[in-house]
Amino acid sequence: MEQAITLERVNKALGKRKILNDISFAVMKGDIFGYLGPNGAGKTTTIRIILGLLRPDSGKVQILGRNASEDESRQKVGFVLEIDGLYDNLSGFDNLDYYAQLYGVPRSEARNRIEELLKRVGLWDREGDKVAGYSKGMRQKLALARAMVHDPDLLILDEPTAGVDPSGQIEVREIILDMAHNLGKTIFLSSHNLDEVQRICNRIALIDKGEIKLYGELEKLRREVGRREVVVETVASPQLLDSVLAELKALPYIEDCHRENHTLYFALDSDADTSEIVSRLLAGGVKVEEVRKGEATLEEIYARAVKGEGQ
Amino acid sequence: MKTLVVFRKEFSDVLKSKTLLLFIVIILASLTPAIIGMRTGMLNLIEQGGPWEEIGPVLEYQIGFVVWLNSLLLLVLLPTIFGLNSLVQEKAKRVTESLLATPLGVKSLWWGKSMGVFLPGFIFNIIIVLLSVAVFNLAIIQPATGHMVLPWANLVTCLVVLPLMVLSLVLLLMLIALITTSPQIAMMIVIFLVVGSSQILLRIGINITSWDFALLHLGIALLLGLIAAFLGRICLTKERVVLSCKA
Repeated sequence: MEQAITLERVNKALGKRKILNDISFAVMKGDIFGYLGPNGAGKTTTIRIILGLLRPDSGKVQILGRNASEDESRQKVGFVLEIDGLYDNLSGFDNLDYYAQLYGVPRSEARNRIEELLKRVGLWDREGDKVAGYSKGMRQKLALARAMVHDPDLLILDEPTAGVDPSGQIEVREIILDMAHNLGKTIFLSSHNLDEVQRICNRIALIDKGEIKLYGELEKLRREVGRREVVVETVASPQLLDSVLAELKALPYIEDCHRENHTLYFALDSDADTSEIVSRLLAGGVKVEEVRKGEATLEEIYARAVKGEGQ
Repeated sequence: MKTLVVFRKEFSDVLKSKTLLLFIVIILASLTPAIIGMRTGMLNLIEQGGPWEEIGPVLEYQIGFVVWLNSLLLLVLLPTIFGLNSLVQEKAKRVTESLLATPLGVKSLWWGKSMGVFLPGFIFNIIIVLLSVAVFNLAIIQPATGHMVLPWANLVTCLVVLPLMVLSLVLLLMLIALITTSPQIAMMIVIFLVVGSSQILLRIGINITSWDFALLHLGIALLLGLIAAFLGRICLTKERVVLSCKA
């Protein structure tokens, strides 16, 4: 699959402070790529480097096959930055029109395109109003429309739902999904909203203190990080399950186990033998319907990678 | 092409601004009493008599001085007020960062903005200069003497060379405002340069209406232009602009 963004061994310091330390990752075309990390981890610096606003001290950054330092590399890239950078004194329409001109969208196409985008984000009825009067949610939706004004292949979004109320967050998220699924855009989404990333991203990178801690397909990471948990679906009385669980707790490789209705959860250490657990359950008269490996939530993945929990 | 897009927006912003209207009113309001005051002085001089060869150069100097001073103030103040104000706001609201995240180059932004705030003053200056010379001649000198005073060197200075000097100054001003965290520094440098250079120009005793005065302006314009070009080449980077944006 073709790469939309490539970072290879990128380093960046601002003054004496090292912001990015040898970071590498790639965003494939068609991805909705989540870029996670706590505040001050280096997310915005990475985005600025990708957009050519900062130069890396070393390493290679490519965007849609071109060096990120070339101005023309951003011709097919749209963006929403942490602070929207809209002109307060211009209307929503005029903001988009100005950017359409900067991207060289032909005048004959620009008007229709702006109208279509403003309708798509639900701002057509406010197109003539000055942006100074827009709510935060409306501003973010306008910024998303601005990012699309030149029909880019790649969208770079830095905290697009930050500061937006919950209903606004849902709307912004739906617009992002619409852009990805219906318009076929590749999306690079920087966020510290784990729920948001879990809902919409297929691949992630997790940065902390300027270093990439985790990187890959979200589903794969969830399975890998959750590999030490086994979930067993059973058919048995609660009393029987509780007595069998009490016996199983004595096994040395079971760190923890508990029951939720007919489902048993086992936290295992690395020497665990899942087949022995199943054998013991069967021997105890428990009918086993399904055995599966547990999947960690993104929150658990994040906590383990950033805070070192559960390690 | 992208420079032109930035220029057009900046230019139309200045023209649409209510501050511009206020600025024009102030300039006209300060010019009118000056002309009325000078009218009395000029008529006294003419009434005293004397050959035209003696009176003519004095009148030419008086017209030249008023026109030059007005041009200087107009050309410098207008872009300084509009350019600096809009840039400070755009940097604080991260508009500049968003603009630079498009394919717009940092030098295109610099030139577009500088030309956009310079040109309205330049056009307005042409009108004011020609209008002043016409009023002095048609309302005062020609009816009283039958002669016309056309300070050619002064006109070239005010319509061509002085604008060139101010354009270099505006480029320098916008450059400093783009890359520093405190654009007030740019304002102070401009005030220092304008006050300093005008004092030097007036004190070295060169006649305002002479070609030497025009050449001196040209020299300063070239010097400032070279400084702006040199600093633009070595200092103006996207990174400097982005890191100097303080919300």
